Amino acid sequence: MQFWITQAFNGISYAALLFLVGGGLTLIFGVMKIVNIAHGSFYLLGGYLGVALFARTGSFYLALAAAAVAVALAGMLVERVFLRAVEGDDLRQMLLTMGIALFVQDLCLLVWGGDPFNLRGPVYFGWSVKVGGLSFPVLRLFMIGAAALLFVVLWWFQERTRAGAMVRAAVDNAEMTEALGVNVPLLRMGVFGLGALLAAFGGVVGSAFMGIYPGVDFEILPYAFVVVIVGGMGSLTGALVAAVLLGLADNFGKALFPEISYFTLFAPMGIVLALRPSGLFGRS
Amino acid sequence: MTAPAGRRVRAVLVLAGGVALVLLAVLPPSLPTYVVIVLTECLIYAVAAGSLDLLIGYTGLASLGHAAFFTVGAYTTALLATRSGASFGTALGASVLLAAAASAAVGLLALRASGIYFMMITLSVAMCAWGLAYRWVSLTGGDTGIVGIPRPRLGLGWLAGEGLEFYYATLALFAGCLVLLLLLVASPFGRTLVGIRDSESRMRVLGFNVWLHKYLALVIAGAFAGLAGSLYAYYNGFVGPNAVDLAHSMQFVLMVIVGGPGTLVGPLLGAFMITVLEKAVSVFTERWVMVLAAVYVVTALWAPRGLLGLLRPVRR
Amino acid sequence: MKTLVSKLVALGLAVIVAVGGLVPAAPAADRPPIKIGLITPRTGNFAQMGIDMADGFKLYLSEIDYQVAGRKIELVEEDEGAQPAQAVTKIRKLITHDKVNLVVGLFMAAAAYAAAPVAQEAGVPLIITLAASDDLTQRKASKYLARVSFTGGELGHAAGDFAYRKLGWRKVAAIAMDYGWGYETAGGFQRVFEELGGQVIQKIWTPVNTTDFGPYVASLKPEADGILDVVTGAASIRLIGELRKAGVLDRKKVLAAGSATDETLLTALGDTALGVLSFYPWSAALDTPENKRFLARIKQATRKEYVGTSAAINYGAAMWIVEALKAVGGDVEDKDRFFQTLRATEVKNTPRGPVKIDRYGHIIQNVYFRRVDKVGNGWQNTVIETYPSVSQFWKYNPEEYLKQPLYSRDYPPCKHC
Repeated sequence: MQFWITQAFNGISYAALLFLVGGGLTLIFGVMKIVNIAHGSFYLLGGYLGVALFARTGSFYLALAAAAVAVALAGMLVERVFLRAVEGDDLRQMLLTMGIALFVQDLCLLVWGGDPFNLRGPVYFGWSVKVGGLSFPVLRLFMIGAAALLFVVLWWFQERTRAGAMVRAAVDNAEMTEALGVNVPLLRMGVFGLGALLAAFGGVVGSAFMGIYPGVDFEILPYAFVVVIVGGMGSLTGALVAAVLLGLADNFGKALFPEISYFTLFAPMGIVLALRPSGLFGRS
Repeated sequence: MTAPAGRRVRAVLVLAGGVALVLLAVLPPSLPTYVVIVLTECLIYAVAAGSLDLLIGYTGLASLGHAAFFTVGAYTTALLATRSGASFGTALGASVLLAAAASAAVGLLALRASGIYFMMITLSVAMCAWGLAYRWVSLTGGDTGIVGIPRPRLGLGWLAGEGLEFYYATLALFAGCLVLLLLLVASPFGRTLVGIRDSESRMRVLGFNVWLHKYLALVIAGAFAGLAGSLYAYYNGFVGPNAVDLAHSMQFVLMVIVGGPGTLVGPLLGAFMITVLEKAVSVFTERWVMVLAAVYVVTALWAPRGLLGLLRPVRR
Repeated sequence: MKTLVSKLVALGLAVIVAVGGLVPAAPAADRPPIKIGLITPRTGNFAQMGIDMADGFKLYLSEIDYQVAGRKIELVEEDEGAQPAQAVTKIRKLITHDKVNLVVGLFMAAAAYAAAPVAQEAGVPLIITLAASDDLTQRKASKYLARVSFTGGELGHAAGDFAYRKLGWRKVAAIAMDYGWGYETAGGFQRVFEELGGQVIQKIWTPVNTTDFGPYVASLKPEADGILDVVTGAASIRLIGELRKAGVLDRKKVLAAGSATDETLLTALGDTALGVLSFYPWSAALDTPENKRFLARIKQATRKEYVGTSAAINYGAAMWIVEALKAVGGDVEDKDRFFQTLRATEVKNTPRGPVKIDRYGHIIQNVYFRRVDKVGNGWQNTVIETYPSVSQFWKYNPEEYLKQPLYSRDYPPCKHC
């Protein structure tokens, strides 16, 4: 029993990280139909900035907020300066975002060197809550809480606010939305910034959970893609459900069938795609 | 652009291409060994990129899974060459067949979707292939991969080693593939593919079996990828899961985009350019990744139809 | 039309210039310099390790003014990257384009396996200064290949002995990365440990870039006296963090391959790693005058507070190579004589201790057992035990040893799992 609870808990906390990274990507996909290869770079930048700011200020939450906002601004800049010029052309977008991803990766290497960093965070990140005979690390609880909170906030924003309605409209039909007078370019810039913010948030949390080092951008990207593909492009709920499914599948897969670890992550993706190419919650 | 000018442009391009091929055939014995080595790699990637253009440029299928079939070919050759001592022809043939078979299987799944969903499915195929290459250790050697693949003995020993024998084998295969691809593209099949790219619905209305055409294009492209993969295995002397990781998967696509999709020759140029760039730039600076990145960004922004697009005047 | 032709000409010129970058320069006259190709990662996941390797190697060369036996030493540095294919290409370049007299370096085990045949075919001496990969100096040993870093098997054997006799462990759970380094270290450990009477009761193989070790840690068998940890690099931070959070480190001791607690990781590991034992051919805390001198100089040169093993090993490698070069009067072109001399060369005062190689080309060296301790505001790997002159074959007869298969996922088989 202990085994199942611990593994499930670990799976859900890992899902929290996957949601943060995949959620931003799915929004960008949904609204802008962009294959954002630079998404991992936002994660990477966020992580490094978080570590640097935490070292400078000693405050985790300040570092988290500042890093997320800084990367969001960077994201908006990238959208305005680069992506807008190649709007509508899938292939050029891929080339461009790949270039940006490579550039950011090398830049981070230049600025912060290659040794890995671990964001220590507040002292209670090292503690565990003991219930029964089980140990629940506070950091993992934080990850779950933060992801859940973000999901609620984003869901409320998407479903209950005017801005959110505009985003949903743009996902469904950008031309029509623009015809209705919505400033779609501004919307796109905002959504891209939001996606970057989520990725950076994930980066900061990730650097506390598993460290930050060169190469993690391309390591995390496949997982983000899986969340988006399985959940359905553009659907936040889909990203959450997919993240949970994948986090659990990955954890139990590793624990029960360590031989085929990667397969337990990618196989569900294959199955979902075979049955429903647009993902669980995507629109066909 | 008027028709005679178009024909003249094409004539010049064909002439330039011919000159390039002649140079590739004649120069190497007098070139430094390292240059021959790099040219060999360029030719291998050119086959892969050219065949991918069949999908991306001519059929409008943005496949991110080309590396998967490339890798199937590579591992097939690696296994046959190291564990069964197979000959060059056998390994090559088996690689092409298995890659085509894999492509055929994947096509059934992938073609259920279109547009960006198709892209995602092909991407997931590449990732599954990567996962398999990594974890199926008994077959693929896992992280280490399969090492010690001997260069094929082709009986052309009079070409005084130094990689020339293998270079000419690669060049011959490249030329063969080029001819095949050009014929394909110029054939009615090829023109149907272009029609499908431009408007699937119109082609359907006109009575073409769109699905079958796309499927065949996928399988054919997969076969070429397997060939390139086989040569890649011989070239490096080993294969590892890196051949199908995200970065390498993207590399094929980038070669097509940078070169100019839908031109066949463009992606060949793109393959040459990116391969040479990676090697040449690192000689001058440690920040070669940034230089490569800058090239991608600049090309994306200012060469909307790839590099070859820059060479041709804009159509009104 | 004219513009098209001019564009084609421009393209052609660009091609010629690019290819020009690939063409070697003309060789100089009079006694030419000794050319050494140094290949280490400079980009990608292992970039810092590669930079450290180069820093260590170059530090020694700069101390001798890049000169030996009246000849200058010319160092050509290349980027191994994070993909073995790149290593292979770069070594080809060093050999055919730069015409180096010897190739030094290599970080990735897979790259070493892939690149060794290339160097062998070209008859160019290859001296590996980091990559493990047991077999390169065993069944795949070749005439001009030497390795002065370490191997998994070599370290694992010593650790198996240490765990049984010094730590008193009888049952061990092993958690190791699912590739050569993991197989070879855990394999070596298991062999010696079980021969002494111990039992390895669990072997968990984790994929190389595992992000979440939670499931693995949760399935560690509680009956184990201790844990063998062969998870390295950034992943080590995650594993040790997970072990600490799950309370495992409070109940048991962890014996890790030293790449898990390397000095370059100590800051990121922080207090979570306190008390973790490890085994490696060096420690910054090694209390010898040579080591102290080395540390002072490299800290000054690189301005890094924590110097990694990669730098120390490469510094020692440079010392050893130069010693051999001196012994042949700089005549590196006579490859046979140079390599014979290398085999006979021993340098006693490198930062890690004595360096010399065995008949198969692999180093015989001290293995240090360390413990992560807090010192002031920082951490160190305190040396608690030294096993001198450890061979890659441990105490076995090499011919007998080589009859058994290479350590792999399934060998030695886990009889007590």
